[in-house]
Amino acid sequence: MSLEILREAEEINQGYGTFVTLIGTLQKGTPIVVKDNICTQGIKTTAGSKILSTYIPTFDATVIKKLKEKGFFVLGKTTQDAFGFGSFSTNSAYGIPKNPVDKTRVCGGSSGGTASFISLSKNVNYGLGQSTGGSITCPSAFCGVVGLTPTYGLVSRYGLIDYANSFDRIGPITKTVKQAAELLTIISGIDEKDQTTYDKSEDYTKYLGKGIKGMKACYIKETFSEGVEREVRDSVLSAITELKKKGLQVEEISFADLKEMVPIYYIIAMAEASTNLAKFCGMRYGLESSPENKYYSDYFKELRMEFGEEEKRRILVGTFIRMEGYRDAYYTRALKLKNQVTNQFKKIFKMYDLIIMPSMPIVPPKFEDVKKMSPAQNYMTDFLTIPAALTGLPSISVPVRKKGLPVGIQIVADHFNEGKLITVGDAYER
Amino acid sequence: MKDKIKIGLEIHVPLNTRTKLFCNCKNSEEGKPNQNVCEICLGMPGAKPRLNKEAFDKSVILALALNCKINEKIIFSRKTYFYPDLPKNFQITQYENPVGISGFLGIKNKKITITRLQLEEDPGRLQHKADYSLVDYNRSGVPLVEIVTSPDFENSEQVIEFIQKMISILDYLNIYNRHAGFRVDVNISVGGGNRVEIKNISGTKPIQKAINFEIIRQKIKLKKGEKVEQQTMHFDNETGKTFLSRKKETEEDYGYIYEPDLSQIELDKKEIERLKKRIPELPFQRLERLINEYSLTESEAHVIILEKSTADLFESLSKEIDKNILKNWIAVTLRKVLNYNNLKLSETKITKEKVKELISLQESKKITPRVAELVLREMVSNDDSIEKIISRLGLSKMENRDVENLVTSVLKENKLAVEDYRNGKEKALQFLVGQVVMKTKGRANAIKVKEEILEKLKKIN
Ligand SMILES: [Zn+2]
Repeated sequence: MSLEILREAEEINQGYGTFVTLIGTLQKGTPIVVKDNICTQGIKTTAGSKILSTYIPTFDATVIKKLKEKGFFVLGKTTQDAFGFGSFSTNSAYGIPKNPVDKTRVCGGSSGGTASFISLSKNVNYGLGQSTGGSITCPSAFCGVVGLTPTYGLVSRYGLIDYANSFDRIGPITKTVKQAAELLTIISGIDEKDQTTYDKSEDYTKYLGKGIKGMKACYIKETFSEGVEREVRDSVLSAITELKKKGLQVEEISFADLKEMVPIYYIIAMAEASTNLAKFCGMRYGLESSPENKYYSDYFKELRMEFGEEEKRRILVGTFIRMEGYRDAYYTRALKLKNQVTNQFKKIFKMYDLIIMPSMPIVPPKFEDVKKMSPAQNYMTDFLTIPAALTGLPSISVPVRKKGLPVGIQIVADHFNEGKLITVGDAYER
Repeated sequence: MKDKIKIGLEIHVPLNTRTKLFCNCKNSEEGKPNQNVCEICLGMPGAKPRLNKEAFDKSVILALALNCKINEKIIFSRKTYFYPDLPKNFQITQYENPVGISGFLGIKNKKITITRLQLEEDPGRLQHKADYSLVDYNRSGVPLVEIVTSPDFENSEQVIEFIQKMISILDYLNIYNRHAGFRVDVNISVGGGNRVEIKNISGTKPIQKAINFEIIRQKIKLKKGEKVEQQTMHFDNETGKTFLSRKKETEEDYGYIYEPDLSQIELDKKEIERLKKRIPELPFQRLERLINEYSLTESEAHVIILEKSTADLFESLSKEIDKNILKNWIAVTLRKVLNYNNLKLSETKITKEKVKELISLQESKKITPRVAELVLREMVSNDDSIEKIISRLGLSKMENRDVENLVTSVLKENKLAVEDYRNGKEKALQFLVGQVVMKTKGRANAIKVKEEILEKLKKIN
């Protein structure tokens, strides 16, 4: 590896705060940057939270193992919202990454560090992001790079620090669709260490350079209306026009209760998150304090005060949702609705290969505007990524604007139809 | 009705799987603390559980043996509570969809309903020191089956009968790690009053003591016109008393959610049939058969079937050895030696062939029953030949002359006792006999020794 890669990475990190840990030594192979909630043996892995500031995993995540076998090396661990709790990477304990186009704006979250760095680097093409409610799509759209969120169960989560296990997915963030296809081919596949994985991996590069004539897509009317900024709408609609020119059939459909999915998603995600965060109590790993003269429960309480604001909020809300008397009304009901919504989408995929919508309803906002948002407004910015997140469907975000603030087009396919996403994304790029 | 006693049980049975429930660590508490651990059973960030098929199968086999209905969908759940022995601060257990429901096990004149049978992970083990505590996670992630009964028991005798029957079934199914021991939570209510739960008692005797103590405690309260509060107690085996636990566990809300890292399991009929085939003839079925086939009394048959391996031994030797001699030998001598060592026959080095040889040596009067028992004790942990054991322990049959010599020396050493005997104290003679038999290590027959002593005393006269 040339010193140039290191020098450039350091420079980008100085200017844009993209890394929690940057490995400063020369290594052989292809560089990749990795979101800091993916365990790397011997390299500090914080998930963006202060509570894990001293956690050095004793093992590699399955995806890291696979990448190392293919000659990749980890260049650095990227900044993110703590535990993935956020849409703008502003809930980070290790510096907030900035938008590559405009430093006064956010780069999206929660995989912000990866997306920002891939956009800025001339030497590094491969990054790993991770999505729970849209954390690959959002920063990819805001930073003008490609983000691919694979079907739930296609890529092993072993070694991923959990946010909401039912939704968490690891996926590529790259400069081109081709690079995303290459990366997905390496990291996908069944894993005996993750019992939610399937044996569905393919060589995804074979889907590159294929025509899109005869493929049938639809776009949901509601994803271009209320709450979607005009410049986003215009850019995505003109991208659809281009795709039509290349042979894609596109029809309009209606999906009225799209925004209803936001609370369904957040109820399940927070319930799971609040149990996942229970283990962080200053024992065995991570942040510790002196246990002298403290009963264990007081020690745990004191240490857990070190969680950030958003972590505390989600633990509290998530715990409430699980309590007797509320559990059936929220948690159990949300699980039922999740299945209903999934079936609704399955029906759409009986008629169409793809669903097209904007990746995010807005262009990257300014830091000062994000500060003014209430948690509820904040969560609502996810309403376009949550449908695919909730249902485990695969999606790709491809940049559609060459100038100005970046905008992404989001294409969703049926479970394990990543090939179609790659074909369309690649066709658009050409 | 006023004094009606209702007792229900929750029995925690550690399974004898090779590895833990969700990782590949050895299922063993042997060795140093925190030796059999990994990222999964330590709950390290990023690690995920994977279900041990052997443990799962064993839990289904037990559920089937206890006449449970196997759930169509079996799902694991997270039970969240904070405690230092629980690495993730949640336990992976089962809640809405356990392995089995609605089973039963019969005891004398009564059918005990098993409401649920679930598979879960054990937490680690705490060791409390003067002003700090240590945690050993070797036990963390060990597979446990929890069996919950309806409050169908009316007294501690029924509970003990049930537990003994359960242990015997576990032995026949070969699924129970008896060295780890089972733990029981007992809930008791008297006269329709509140339910008191006594947590974490192990061993049949302490369970019986705890129940009897608690029944009396509640009865006294009711007699005084006081109310029994719903609470969680512990049992102190030293004092024999129950005491209030520090935490109010009945008020805790565990906030159960489904375990999202483990997919739900749907067993098809074929799979259930396959597991059913792994259930051997169960102890109570064998009891019936042995009574009929070998005309044993119920109590004889009961001791023989207690353990699958002793029942197997009985049946296989019954063709070669006189049944009456054999049944006494297995039900009395062998049982005594096994109980003394707290071992199962299969855990010893005793083989069928050696037992056969030993019994025939005893029957041909080449060794005394006492010597046979001493040899058997030795055989538990030693695979030397019987001949070798006998000569090593100096147990070969004594010559008359050796007995004579021993008698002479014992009489010399115990002049006081000899004097007493001459003064009419019969007990002194017993003492002298005992001394000689002890010196022969049981090789001499007591009656013969007695005759020899009397003979000698006459001579000295
Ligand atoms: Zn382990």
